[in-house]
Amino acid sequence: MRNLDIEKIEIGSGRYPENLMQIDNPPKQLYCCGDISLLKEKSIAIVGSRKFTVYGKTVAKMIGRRLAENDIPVVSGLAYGIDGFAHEAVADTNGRGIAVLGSGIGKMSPRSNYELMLRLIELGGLVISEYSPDMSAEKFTFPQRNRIISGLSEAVVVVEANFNSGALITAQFANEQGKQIYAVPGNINSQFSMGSNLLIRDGAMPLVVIDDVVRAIKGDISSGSYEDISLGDDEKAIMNVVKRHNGVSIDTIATSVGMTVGKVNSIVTILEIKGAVISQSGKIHLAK
Amino acid sequence: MFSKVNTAVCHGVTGITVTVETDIKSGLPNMSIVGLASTTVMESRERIKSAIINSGFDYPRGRITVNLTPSDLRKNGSAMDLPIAVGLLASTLYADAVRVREYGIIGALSLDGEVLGVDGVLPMAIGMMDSGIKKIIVPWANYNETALVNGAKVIPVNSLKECIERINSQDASYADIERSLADADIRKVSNPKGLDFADIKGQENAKRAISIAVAGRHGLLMIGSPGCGKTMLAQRIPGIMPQMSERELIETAIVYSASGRTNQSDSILIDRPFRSPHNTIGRAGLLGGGMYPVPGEITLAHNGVLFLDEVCEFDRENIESLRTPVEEKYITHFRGGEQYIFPCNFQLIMAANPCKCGYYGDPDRICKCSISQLEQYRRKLSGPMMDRIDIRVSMEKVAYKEISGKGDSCRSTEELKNDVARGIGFARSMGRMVFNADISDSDIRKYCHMDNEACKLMDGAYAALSLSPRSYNKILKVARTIADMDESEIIKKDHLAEALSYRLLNEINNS
Repeated sequence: MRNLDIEKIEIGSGRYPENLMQIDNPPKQLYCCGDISLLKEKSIAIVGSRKFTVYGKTVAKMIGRRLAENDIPVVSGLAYGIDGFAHEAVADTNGRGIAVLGSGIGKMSPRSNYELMLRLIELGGLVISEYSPDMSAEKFTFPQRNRIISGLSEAVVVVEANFNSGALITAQFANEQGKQIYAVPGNINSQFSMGSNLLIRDGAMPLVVIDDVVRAIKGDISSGSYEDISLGDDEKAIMNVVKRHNGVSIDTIATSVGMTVGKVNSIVTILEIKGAVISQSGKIHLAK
Repeated sequence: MFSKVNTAVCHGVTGITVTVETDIKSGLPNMSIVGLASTTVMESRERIKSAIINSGFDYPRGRITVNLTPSDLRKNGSAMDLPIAVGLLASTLYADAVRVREYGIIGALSLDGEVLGVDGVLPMAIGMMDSGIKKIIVPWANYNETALVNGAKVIPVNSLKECIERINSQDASYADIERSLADADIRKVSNPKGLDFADIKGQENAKRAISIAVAGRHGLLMIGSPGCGKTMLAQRIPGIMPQMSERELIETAIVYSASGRTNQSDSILIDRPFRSPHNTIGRAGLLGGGMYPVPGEITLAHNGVLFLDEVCEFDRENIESLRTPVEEKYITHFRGGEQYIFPCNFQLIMAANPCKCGYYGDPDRICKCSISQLEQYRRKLSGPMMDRIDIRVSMEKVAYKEISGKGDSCRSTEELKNDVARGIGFARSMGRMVFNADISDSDIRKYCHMDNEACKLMDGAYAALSLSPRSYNKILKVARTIADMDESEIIKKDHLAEALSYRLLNEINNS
């Protein structure tokens, strides 16, 4: 592991973020690596569970990208799954992210996101932790750091959460701290969206239009970078099936449009290259 | 008196002719066998003595020396009982010591003089035939497998007595039975279990991938939750491979004969083998081994299908050890200073669950795996062995509607077999004698021409789907096979795009 320049900010110092002073049990010190001025900006947290579906992954990336395009810092836990995807999209858009770790900065986990952490720092982002750099993660440290995630941000977006996901703990902290909570609605029979749907029932704001989050911070927003994808007739026919049943198998598409599976496979690949669909585990999903 | 009898030993899967020299001198009664004989061969002394006496012959009195040449070759197995007994009887003039030299003799003996079947008769018979022996005496129990010996007369015998009578007889009514492949009963038995792809409904995508894999001998990986039909599909794959050529029939039969499996099922001689070792299998069982090496599963799958079900449950080391044999199409073992080469040219098929519990991504069931289990499982699905996998297909459980319904397009073994035959036939007609999966990297440019549209697609795909140079080559080879099945000399856009859809996805490779 490479040597990182880590600064320590004590509570009460001028550089300590004010919004963390407002919460119960504020961290006594913050170990930071990166651009500390980010702590003073208004930011949004994107959280979700480690297990995800293509839907959650797509949405996490869409929100991450949109916020980065509007230069709003994205706070997340750099965990496996949704957290990672949100920050990945931020880094891909050259945006800035704040990663709040559940361990010392020198002992970050999961290791698979280490490269992503370095990328965030290089792009002017920030990594913080209340634990000393050489402290390893423990079972209790992850829920503890969730109070910092919600405390730092203006609003928390829960993308996909199972009913026992750690993202719900973040939402609970956010509620206690009086922050706005957005939850991305999912199918009511999807185990992966159970937690986020329950949040909506309990009063969280359903996130139906992504730009709502952006407007919560900024009045005027930059227009999106959606370009129209030109499609051929066969491609349109297949897109229509995918739009009707998101997450459909090749076999089903073939029967609905009356083509051979070989032909469908080849068209789906072209659609995938054009960025219109994503295939995972043999199922075809809409990319946007 | 001195006599000479020909026999053979099975050295791995090769038959090597051995001469049994018997000499009886006056002296204290004693029998010694020299020439690197194993314990089994040494023990044959007791069997031979009883068998000779119980067949009504006199056991010679005197000092008996039996020499097995070539004397530096290790000799194992009970197949030398009969030739040693015949040698003794030829030395005592019960058998015609001149005529006996025309024969090659194989067989084990029981104490009452009955001739028992042994392993490896086919390679031994072929080995003797190659060294110029035209008449081969075998046990009745092994008669069936010798149908593949062309060019030598095979004489089946039941007992030591019958064997001696056959050698001594001048009688023309004992006309040697000549067997050929054409009239053997076994020729008629094919697909005994009646497996057909039409039994499987609603997995047309997987069937298509299988037919491409077979047409180009591409390694195939099927991923899907338990019960979606991976094993059923795999079992039907031998049925869509082309008929074995005579050469392949012999190669496969030799392996089965050498490992003593011919008697279990005669039909194995005509159908391509399907081997599906359980995931607890050890290294020797998979690759072959033992003090006198015997073929392992990869060799038993020679010219057929090796199916690794639940491939992630196999010991990683065992899977990795398959790499060299899969590439070289043979495996070499060294034992006691000798080299044993076993062929292993097979169609590799693997199946895996999407995660350890099997239900990740399943719409109805909850996956119980922890994140670290998921990561560990996916790491198993990456790694060097996956380099041998060209085609990957994800499957999901089929809805009841499709199982019960009259699925309008349910492809059968017959149709898939035609697709495969068309692909292979076209490749051969274009002068490509190797399967597409085995095209060397230097030949790829020679064989895999893309039209302009396909080139453009590949340019876009390379970045958009983040391909590596290795996967680029694999995709080209698969596209070549798809174009072959379409009888197209040039790889078109559709062929390439379809090939891209079977690539190993990133979800498996890194996330």
